[in-house]
Amino acid sequence: MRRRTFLRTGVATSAGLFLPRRRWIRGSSGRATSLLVPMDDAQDEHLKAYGLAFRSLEHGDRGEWCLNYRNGSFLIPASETVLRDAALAGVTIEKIDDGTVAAIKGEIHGSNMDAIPLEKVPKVAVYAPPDAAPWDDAVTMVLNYAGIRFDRVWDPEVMTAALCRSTGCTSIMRILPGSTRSSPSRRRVRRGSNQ
Amino acid sequence: MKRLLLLLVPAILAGQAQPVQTNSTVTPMGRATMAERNGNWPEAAVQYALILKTQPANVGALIGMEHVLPKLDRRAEIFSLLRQALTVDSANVGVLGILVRVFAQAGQVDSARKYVARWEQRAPLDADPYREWSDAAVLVRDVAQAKLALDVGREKLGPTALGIERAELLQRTGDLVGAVQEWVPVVRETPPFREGAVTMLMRLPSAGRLVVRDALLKEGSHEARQVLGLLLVKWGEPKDGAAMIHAALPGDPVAASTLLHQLYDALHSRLDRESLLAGAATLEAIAVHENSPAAVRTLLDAARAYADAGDERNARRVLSAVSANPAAPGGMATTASATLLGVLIAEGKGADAERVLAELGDKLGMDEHDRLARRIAMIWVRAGDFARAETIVANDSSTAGLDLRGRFRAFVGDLAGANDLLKRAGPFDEEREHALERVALLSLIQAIGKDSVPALGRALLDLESGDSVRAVTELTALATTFKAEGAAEIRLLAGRVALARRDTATALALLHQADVKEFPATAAASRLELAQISIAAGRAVEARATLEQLILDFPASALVPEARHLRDTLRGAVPIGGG
Repeated sequence: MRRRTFLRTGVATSAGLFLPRRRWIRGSSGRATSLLVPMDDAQDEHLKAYGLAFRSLEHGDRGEWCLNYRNGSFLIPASETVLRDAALAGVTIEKIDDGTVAAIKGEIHGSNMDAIPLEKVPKVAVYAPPDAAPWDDAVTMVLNYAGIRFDRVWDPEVMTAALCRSTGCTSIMRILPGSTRSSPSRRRVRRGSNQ
Repeated sequence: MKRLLLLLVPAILAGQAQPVQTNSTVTPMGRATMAERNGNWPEAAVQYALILKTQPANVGALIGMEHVLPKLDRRAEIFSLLRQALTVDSANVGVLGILVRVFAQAGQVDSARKYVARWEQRAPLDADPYREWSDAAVLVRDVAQAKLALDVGREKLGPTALGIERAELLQRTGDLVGAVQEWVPVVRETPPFREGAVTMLMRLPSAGRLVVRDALLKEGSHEARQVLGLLLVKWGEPKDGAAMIHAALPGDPVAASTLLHQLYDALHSRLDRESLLAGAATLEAIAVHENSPAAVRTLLDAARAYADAGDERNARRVLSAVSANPAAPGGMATTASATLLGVLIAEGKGADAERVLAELGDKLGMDEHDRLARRIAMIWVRAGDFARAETIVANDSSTAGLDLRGRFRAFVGDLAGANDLLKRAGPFDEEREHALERVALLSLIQAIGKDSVPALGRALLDLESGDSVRAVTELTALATTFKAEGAAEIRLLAGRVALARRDTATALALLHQADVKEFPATAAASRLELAQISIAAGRAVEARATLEQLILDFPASALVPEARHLRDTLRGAVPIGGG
């Protein structure tokens, strides 16, 4: 075996000598009570950021979706669980104290922005064949990548209306146009709240 | 109507003086052939009959009837039509040919023979009547009649006439010795038929091959050995086959060259070493019959073939002859020398390679010269002559040159010198792999933090020479003499080497020892390797835990993105191998 053979596998370690170090936790120096998940260019993992907000709600936290503030960022309570989750997923977060939170809310109030409370975990179902691989379908692929839990529904569930009974959904909505290219009849079924 | 117009328009455009085409549906022949082509046999028969009513000896219509009537189960009708044709034109060769065929296929041997004789009177030295008769008999599997046809023909035309047909018929009937006895005179008389003889005989099963081999050996002529030589090559005995042909070359240079090309074509389609070597020798023999530029090209091909077969000695011999040939065009002599240099380097002949490189001088581009010089330097390094190696690349300030000089310093344990040169080489290279290797070595040297460690140099040299077992032993022992980061980095290297050797137990032990939290770069790399081992062993949960610990403990590590990607793969968030 030659030197090249073994160096090929794990050599990226040393490549770090030439790579810039990246921080994914930014924020104010005061006592952090909240975490801001920016959705502008500061964010490295936009899709996983949605997943982080979703899982935070699953853990029983309450958050806010700051529409138009830094491209629709999330404000969620600081906790060890969320910090760990963000670190593992590579989601950029900013630790902020109460003063900063107040300043952000003031800015939202004074501009064409809004803060939507996030209180309940959305139930998501995707109309997709039961045997399709996650990456055969743009929607399931994105949800899997983001780490957002979802149900998969297919014709039997829709035909028997069991879907609405089991999920308590109030409406069946057509999914975003960009995601329907592969199948014009594809629908996403969601609960009415938290949209 | 529209279809008719479409058919007529090209004829009109082509000029009205042009005769009407027979495939036009305007003429009876056109309608007949169109009907036959469409499988409408009754209509075709009607149309052909219409033609024959006015032209009883129309050969085209008679041939049409010959085809169509058997399909309508009206085979017998052809005889009356042919008799009518004979009354009109008794010497028509076309009509006689049809008569021979239909009588032969009907088993009426005397009638077939009668019309062959009449045909033969029209064309005394023509073998076609007998060939036609034999072929028609073969079609109905009447071997005796086919043989009779060929015997009669030979009696009329001479002792070697119809040899090919007789050989094929005898082979078909299982008389392989007879077939061989027919083929040899055919090849002697007309050498281009040698290929046909080989093609026919090569398809035989192994038992038949032995009979043919014995028959050809017994025959013993040059032609028999030429055929047998080609057959042996086709049957997977390239060495014996080629030797037989080289010993049976015709005296005429053109004929010899043709046979050698035929041999080379047969060898060229095979990839085994014996075929490559035989092919190389054949190319050399072909070159003897060629003029200078072509001969040089052929010899270069021969040298490449020798080199491909691992016969460096003969490759070198041929290349030396070409490069020393004053008649060789300049570019070719240079190519030969450069190829020779490659062979010498592959053989590890440093001194000879240096001499050829010096002779080539400025005929090579500077980059090519430096590249070859670096390869020669590596020969001296492996031989332990570092001074000579460093002398060869002393002025090479390219990235690759600095990299190599840095490695040479590392091999002698001069880590300070190595560090300096590797840093000067920088983090980039033409090939990413080289750059990553360099950075890895630099990282190791910096972690050790000493100016001179000869034992590390020896281990790295063993690794370069491919002795990974010894390298792991030396690195493991060396690690115990260091404290802290140096030891961890050396164990990481040893662990990777062990892993590449599939010695997982040793690799696991070394990588766990290298996982020292105080040295984040080394520890992160160790954990990534450990996770990879767990993944390879199918322990996904364990791998995921290791990766998460890596990410959480060393969030600033350059390996975190790779760890995250692996974790995503494990949780099914991205396809395996996906980006």
